[in-house]
Amino acid sequence: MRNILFIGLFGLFACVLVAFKSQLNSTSIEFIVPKKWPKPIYTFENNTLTEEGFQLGRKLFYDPILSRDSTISCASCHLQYTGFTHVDHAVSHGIDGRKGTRNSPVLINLAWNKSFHWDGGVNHLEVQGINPIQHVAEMDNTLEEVMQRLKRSSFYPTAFEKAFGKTEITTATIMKALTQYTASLVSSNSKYDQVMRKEKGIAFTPQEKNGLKLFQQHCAGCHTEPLFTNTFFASNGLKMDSLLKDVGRYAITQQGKDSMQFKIPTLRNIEFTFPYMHDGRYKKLKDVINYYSEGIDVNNSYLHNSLKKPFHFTEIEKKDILAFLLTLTDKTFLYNKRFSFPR
Amino acid sequence: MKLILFLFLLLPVQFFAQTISFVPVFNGERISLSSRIESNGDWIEFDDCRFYISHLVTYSSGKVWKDDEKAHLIDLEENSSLILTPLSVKIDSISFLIGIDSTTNVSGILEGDLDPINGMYWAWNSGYINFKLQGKSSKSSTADKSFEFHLGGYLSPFQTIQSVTLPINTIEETIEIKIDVSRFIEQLDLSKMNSIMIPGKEAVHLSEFLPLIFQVK
Repeated sequence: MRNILFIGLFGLFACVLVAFKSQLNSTSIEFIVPKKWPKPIYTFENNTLTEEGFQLGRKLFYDPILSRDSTISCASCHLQYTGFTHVDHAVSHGIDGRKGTRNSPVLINLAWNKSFHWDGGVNHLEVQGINPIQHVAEMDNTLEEVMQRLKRSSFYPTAFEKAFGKTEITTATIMKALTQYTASLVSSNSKYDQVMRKEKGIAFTPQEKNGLKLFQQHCAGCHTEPLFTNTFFASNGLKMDSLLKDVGRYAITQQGKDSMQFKIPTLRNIEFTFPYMHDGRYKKLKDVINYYSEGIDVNNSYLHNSLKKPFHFTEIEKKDILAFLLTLTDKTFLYNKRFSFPR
Repeated sequence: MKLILFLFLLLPVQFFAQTISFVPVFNGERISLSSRIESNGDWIEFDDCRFYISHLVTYSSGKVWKDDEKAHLIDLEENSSLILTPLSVKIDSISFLIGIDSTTNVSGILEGDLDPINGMYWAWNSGYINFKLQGKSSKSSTADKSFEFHLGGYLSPFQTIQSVTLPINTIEETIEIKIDVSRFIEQLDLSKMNSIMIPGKEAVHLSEFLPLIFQVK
């Protein structure tokens, strides 16, 4: 009995030691919520944000080791300089040049998103990363293979131990590390933000100001400030592409009311995230403004209520809206070295 | 080290441990999962039968014991036994859910039996597959005679989780629960329906048959 008690106490001691050691290894960092912003949905519960976890996630994000033939990384379709999307590609190509069916979404302020993908099929940021790894048109890999490769590498086991206190690499630690990185991609320092914070020497031009007014009047119902999305789904009336035959959120919920609905995207850094819409059919921002102004088929039965009456903006108004949208560009985000390829 | 501590904690009570063993059965006859079953010129074979058991509760003369594990993945080919935290009295009945509840389905990345690597998880439509049955049958109209049912879905109105309560009449250490897959298969016309891989109306309809296949005796 004494022996068993001894082993038990020793075990307890070892556990405390392990816990203590892992604490020593990682440096927790604070996730800063910009002033006057809503509370984030992702709260790092069970996934304490640490410098080591963030750096590990960043390394994984840029590492082609995740793809079947080690040719593409997350960053292949999510480039920082363009708001973490695939610039100039209507739909992205993954492995072997295979094409997907939707425009690669931006990775901006993800911690405030309730769901992910254009159809909202992914219900939690931590499980998002499984999709590109497994998708045949993206990385076409398996979680088992990724795990084996990471375990064999000379870098990762130590990095995982530093981040999570154990060398064992699991689906959970891979996804949590990636989440620490992607959730940290916060953009809140555009000209718009600086004006809102009443920073010294920063002001909207009269054109931008009028653009904001028009925007608030016609667009902000869905593209709600300060995230520039209300995170819901809607149909903007775009006709279904005859080849892609994408029914949007219906594919997830199997409910008629969700037919042709897609996630309302954020408009932050919209200047650089072209092409636009869920299938990337518009190359230029002015095409998008023209579409919303007078291009919508108001007889489309799926169309969101707020779009049923055409806006018919004047040419000047369109330029004003465009000028305002350009104030959502956040160069400190797009060029933040902390988010870039780890060297 | 942690393991030793764990064993140490279990030691004083393990003598009363009871095991639930899930046994594949077809028309009441015990089968080995992959063997071919023939009758009246037709045949069927199974290559995969896996499912989640959660919210397990045992009742024994006034005592209620609740399992604190989130869920157990049962694989009728390999891991078909569950060791229950011991009770010193005879179990009168047992209840559990077949599948994963909605809270767990929206809890982000999970480990162990709930690790998506187990192949019981849809990534594109986040959520667990509650019950998976795959195989081949002469009745299936697919080119390779295969059939596959991946049943799951937690979103309203297509919830697929099911509840089962079974009386337990044995005092032996192993409680045997028979999984009579024939009771599921006989509800279907495999020539017309041989593949369900997404949540929705059909998944709900088929899931309603699942409690029928769990039997004691």
